[in-house]
Amino acid sequence: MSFLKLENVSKSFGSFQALKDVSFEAEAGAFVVLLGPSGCGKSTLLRLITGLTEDHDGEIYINDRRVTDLDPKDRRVAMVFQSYALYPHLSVAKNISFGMEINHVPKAERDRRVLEAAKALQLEPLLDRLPAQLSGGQRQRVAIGRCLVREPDLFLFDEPLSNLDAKLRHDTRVELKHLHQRLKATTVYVTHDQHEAMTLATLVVLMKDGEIVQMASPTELYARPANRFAATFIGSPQINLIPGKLITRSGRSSFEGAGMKVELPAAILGSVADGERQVELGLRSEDARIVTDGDLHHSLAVDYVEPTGADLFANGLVDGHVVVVRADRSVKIAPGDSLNVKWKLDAANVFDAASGQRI
Amino acid sequence: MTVRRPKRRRPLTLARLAVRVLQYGTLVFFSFIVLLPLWSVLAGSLKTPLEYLATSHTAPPQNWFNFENFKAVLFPAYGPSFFQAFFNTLVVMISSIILLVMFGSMAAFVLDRFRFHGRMVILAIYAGLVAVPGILTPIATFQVLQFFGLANTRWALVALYSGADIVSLLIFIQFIRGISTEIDDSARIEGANYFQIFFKLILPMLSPAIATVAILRSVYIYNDFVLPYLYSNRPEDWTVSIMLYNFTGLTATVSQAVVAAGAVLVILPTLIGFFFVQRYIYAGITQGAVKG
Repeated sequence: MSFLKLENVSKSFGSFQALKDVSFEAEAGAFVVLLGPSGCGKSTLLRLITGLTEDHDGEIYINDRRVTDLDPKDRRVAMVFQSYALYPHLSVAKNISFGMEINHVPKAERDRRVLEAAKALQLEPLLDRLPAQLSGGQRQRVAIGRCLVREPDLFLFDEPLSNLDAKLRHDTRVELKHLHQRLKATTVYVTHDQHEAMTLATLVVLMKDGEIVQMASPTELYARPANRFAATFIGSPQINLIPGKLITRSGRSSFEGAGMKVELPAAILGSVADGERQVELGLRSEDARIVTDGDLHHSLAVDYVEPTGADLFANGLVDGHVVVVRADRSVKIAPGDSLNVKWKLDAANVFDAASGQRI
Repeated sequence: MTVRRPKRRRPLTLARLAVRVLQYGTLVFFSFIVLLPLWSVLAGSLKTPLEYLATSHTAPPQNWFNFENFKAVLFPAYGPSFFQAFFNTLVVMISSIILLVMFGSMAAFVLDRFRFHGRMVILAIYAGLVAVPGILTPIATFQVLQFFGLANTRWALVALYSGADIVSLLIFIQFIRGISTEIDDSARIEGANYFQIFFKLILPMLSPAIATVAILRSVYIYNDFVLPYLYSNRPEDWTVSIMLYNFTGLTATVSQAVVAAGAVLVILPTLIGFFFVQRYIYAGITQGAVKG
């Protein structure tokens, strides 16, 4: 039995439909990341799970309990907000114990749980401080501590890293990952940052326009995106999409376009009827090899080079289409060069040109 | 370490000198205008009744330690003492400000946090009331106060002052809008109801706004003459402004020098208060400008 289950959840604000028939399930201990561009409904979905937003269609179950009609406080969920929502006039200790005070938990029990959470999050020396005296990372730990003491079934995070600078964002992400590995708490995490999604999630729910585009593990989402949107949203630099024709004759398919005429491995394609169709061939930049012999797919006229330290990304045109390939940092490439490129075709994805769906 | 260089000043030309003289001359002139009445009152309060009539208003007193007039104000031959009037003013001021802060902040919380039909209408009524001249309403107001049995008591003043005016309301709304709704959401998930959210979280966070409103209203209430004059004129309920007025009335028998002493005594608490809270007054006034 799954731990978190959403059944056909829909939500409208006036005439705007924010969520359309969303269903998914997650196992206990999962780290679910709701990923998507802004306005895709991921935050609305999170608020529906908390119960802060009401009046929706469909059902929500947490830990085998139907919570659809319950108040936020009765759902046994805890949430870390984007701003952390710490109470600025209360000390760290008071912030953590606020919920318990409201719910008349005896003082001795409160103190015990605050100390326990503080120990787990290395907050002990900070208990008497005010939120304004803490760094961004410390504030996040207090917000998490406030969740921990409630011993919830489900942890919810609403873009908690978006207010931090790059270095701190990395550190707190690592901290979150450690925490999840240690506590194994079921978590739903909202972000628009694909990097966060890939590094933290055990299950990514990719959303667009109020609908789920794809639900998969990070590796699967990256390797086998369900459609063109999923392919382009995940991965940096963006996936190369090379338009061309897919020609299928008695079960064998080949791709023709951008100076290439290659047979595609059967494993990367579903069942394809014989015939010709317009497609886009999706190739990640790291699946390119720069070759010196004559065994090449096509050559790339280099426009500019982006060194990132570990790698080089050569950007240029192939037959009029923008293509990026990754090269070893030791390779000398200059604008104007012509690179001979050979692709690892068993990592390729083929998308229907009209519908954008993977074939 | 930075090397300290001697300050380079631009040379003082005749034109720049003229501008300086004009600038400082203007400042001195207007300071003089503001300070002159204060000096006149202070000097007058230390003169004997005869001296007050004989000398000019700006002449210094002959005896700087003549406190007879102050004695006459503090312990008058008839009517309430200054202490009584000051106490009345304090009671009215403190109770109405407590009520005003409660009403105002609660109304602001509801008007900002809840979206309901008629929300703008309520705000419009608050704003519209400013346009009703006070001079039109005394009879109706008096009848309402009489109906509630408040007319001619100091509680009439408390009732009238404790209604939040649009300025106080907007100050509260502005502050509450600046408090992230994620605070409310977080507290709701933790099990707090709206009353707990308001009293335990929002109200304590409003303290700068409360200070601003309390100061602005205190000044208004302390100085107000019309409302106490109309609705609360039993001698035992006199506020300081009414007491001062009664010194100068047609039937008053006291000298102008005593009135001056009364004025000094009325100014004194404000002046002392100002030194203690001027930080908040500046903060309160600039708040709107900075936060926008």
